[in-house]
Amino acid sequence: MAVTLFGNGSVTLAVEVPPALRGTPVLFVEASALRNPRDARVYVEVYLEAADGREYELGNFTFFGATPDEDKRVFAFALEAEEREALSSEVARVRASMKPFDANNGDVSDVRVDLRAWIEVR
Amino acid sequence: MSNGIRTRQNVAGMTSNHPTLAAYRAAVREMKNLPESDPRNWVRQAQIHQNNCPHRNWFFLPWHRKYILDFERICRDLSGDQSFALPYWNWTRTRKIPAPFWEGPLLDTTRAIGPHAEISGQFVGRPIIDNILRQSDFELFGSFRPQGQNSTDPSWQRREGAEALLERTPHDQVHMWIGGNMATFMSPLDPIFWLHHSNIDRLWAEWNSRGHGNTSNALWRNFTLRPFNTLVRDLQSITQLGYTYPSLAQTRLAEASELPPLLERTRERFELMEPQVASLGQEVSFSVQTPESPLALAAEGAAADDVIEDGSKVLAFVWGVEPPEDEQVTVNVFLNCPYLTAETPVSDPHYVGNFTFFGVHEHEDGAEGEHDMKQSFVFDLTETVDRLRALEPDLESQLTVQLMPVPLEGRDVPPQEFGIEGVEIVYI
Repeated sequence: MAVTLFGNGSVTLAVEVPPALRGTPVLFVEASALRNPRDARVYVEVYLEAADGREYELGNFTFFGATPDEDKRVFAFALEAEEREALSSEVARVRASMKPFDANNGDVSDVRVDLRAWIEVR
Repeated sequence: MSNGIRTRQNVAGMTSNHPTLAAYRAAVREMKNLPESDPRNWVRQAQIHQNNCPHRNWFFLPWHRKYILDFERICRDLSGDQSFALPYWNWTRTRKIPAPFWEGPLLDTTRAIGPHAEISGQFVGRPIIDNILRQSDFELFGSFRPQGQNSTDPSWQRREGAEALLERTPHDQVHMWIGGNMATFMSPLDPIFWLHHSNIDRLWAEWNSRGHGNTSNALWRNFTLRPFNTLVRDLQSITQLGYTYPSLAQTRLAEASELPPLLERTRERFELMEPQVASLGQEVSFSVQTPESPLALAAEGAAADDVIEDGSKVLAFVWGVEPPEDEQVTVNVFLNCPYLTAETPVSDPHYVGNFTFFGVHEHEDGAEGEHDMKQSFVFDLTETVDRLRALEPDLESQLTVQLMPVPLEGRDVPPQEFGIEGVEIVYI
């Protein structure tokens, strides 16, 4: 199920962890229905929240070349050994946070995008 | 230019009147002045990107390699500088857009940032780049195949895959950070675009030079990129395409951090440890008998997938090379070339790669003794073997690794001799 992320805000996604983690687990984040009326320059930071409360920064993505009629795009995050250890439970919590590039034009609350995430093993 | 190979240089430190930037500026000015009916026109060039560029899938790297290669040739023609090579902008070290791009034809007034803005390390910092170069899986490095791709039909070129770290972070974030035209698919309208992509291309070349192989999947290798009508597999070797980057010395074993895990998959090793002395302009060859032909190895994969079997590699280790007294020497490496001379070009199908000795004497005053100056290098022969298989199907099960030391282009180097301990072939 997709969750809507607003500019200057955060959302947490519950992601099912595959039972067998042989190989490299990869988190995929699908971004769809981007609405950005002012073409604000924004990016999204992605974190993995471990059961013990620790947070791992997985990286970030942005919307290069986005057009109004764009459908969706998918971003892949290979999980390092440490992050893999944090995937102990059946469900992982992934937090996404949208921020502006330009501190002088920091209100990007009119931007929103729908996010969905899943984990696959390569 | 060395042996017909142009070196793309770092733009950092180039002043506005540097010959490379002067030629680039002249070419850009000329392209902007050309009528729109001329395909070399500046806007027409950007439209090639807008109408064809694959993003967010595994054609991203080879398509942009060909795109900037063709652009570079236009720059040579229009500037009249036949030695011109597109420079690269290494944003990891130079966080601002270089000063020459804030004036004249190299300025794009649509940029959202000013000349003093610096891009954040969270997008282009050394740890990010190290992480990118550590990936061993091609798709985790260069983005994923289009979802569901099951043929080489042209329609797959722009279908969605998934963005991996190189495209997702430094590539995309630099585009968006600059903003204006750079945030759109008309981004080639900004003259910095081409140097940004030259750096992306350099990172791909560096990843390869560290021993990482591109995917051998036929859906990637045998795909014809539009509008160039060029096969992806023909875009893998930058020296075959006529250019290189100055910092690609990563064939040195000490820097090939991914080799140990790779070597855990070793299937066969064949060594010839017979020390030889190399001289400038003279071939030194090491012939290794291989009971299992590398061509049979390749053919085995071909039967299954029309390409070398997934993950199979043929590596050559050149062990214990004693640096010559004058380090202005490059050693070109060839495989099974029956007509090798000092003039054999690197565009020859038998060419494998080269190594140099840059900076080796800088440490002579340190604690390291002469013995420690010896260096070893590793080369991935897989592509060369595959290429030769097509040319010489009756190749014997013998691999002859040939080393040809020559002076660096334009250098006057006195006669040099240096020792080489041996060569080892490894099948993985």
